[in-house]
Amino acid sequence: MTRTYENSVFINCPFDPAYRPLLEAAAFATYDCGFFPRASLEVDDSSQVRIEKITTIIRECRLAIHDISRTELDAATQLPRFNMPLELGIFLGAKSFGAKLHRRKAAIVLDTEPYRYQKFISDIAGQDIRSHGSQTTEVIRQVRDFLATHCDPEIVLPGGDKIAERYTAFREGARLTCSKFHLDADHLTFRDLTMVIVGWLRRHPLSMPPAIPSEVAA
Amino acid sequence: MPKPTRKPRLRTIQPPHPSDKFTLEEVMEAWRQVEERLAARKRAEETGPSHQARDGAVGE
Repeated sequence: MTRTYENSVFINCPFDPAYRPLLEAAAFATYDCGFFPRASLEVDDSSQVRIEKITTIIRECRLAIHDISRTELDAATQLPRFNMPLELGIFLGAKSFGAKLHRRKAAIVLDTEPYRYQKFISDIAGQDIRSHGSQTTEVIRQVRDFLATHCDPEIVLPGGDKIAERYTAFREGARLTCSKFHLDADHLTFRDLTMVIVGWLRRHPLSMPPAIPSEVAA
Repeated sequence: MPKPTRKPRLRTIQPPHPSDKFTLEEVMEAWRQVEERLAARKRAEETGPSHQARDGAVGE
């Protein structure tokens, strides 16, 4: 399968260590549902301005997962961190003002608690905001349910709980696998992370359960 | 007569050692080895206590 505009998903989320498990869960679920996660972290290019990287990725993605849960006051400056809402705004702008291709964009907006966003970004009140309570399983369920409505109509994706179960199996060996390549599992670049995820998924492809033998079915 | 100047030799930049690079196939192979190791550890954990219990029973 090749990466296209149709199957690319822009992941707009925090990149701090505390959020890391949720980012990994979102990337894993995206791949497991047959889509390609994209993030501004994927290209380490100092010659490109950060906002250009973001707009380039948004242009190349039909779908997006926006997590605005880290919109909170910075302890040192007492000012809100607003990168995620900004990137959500760019995505919504592209959908509104972009060419025909971009009008088909779709997104899911995640937050820690339901309705919290109304206190700081009430203009998106019409959007369907989902809460994940900072739980990886809930992130996986939300990502799966969102992507299930945007994949080929002839495809049925496994439920979120099954993908979460697979993610747990992946996590079990991820640290050890990373160590084989002299990689620190806590500080993987986005590209390294995707390589480790894809390696696991290639070994454990999702498939239909084996057909029931006719004598048992009868 | 001026001495002919020697052409400067270009130093070849060595590419990284092949073992520093990993392919997707190698990542898959690493996963296979890790999973085998985890499965062996799990089996050992499962059989370990029963061996101890049996040994204890023999000693009694």
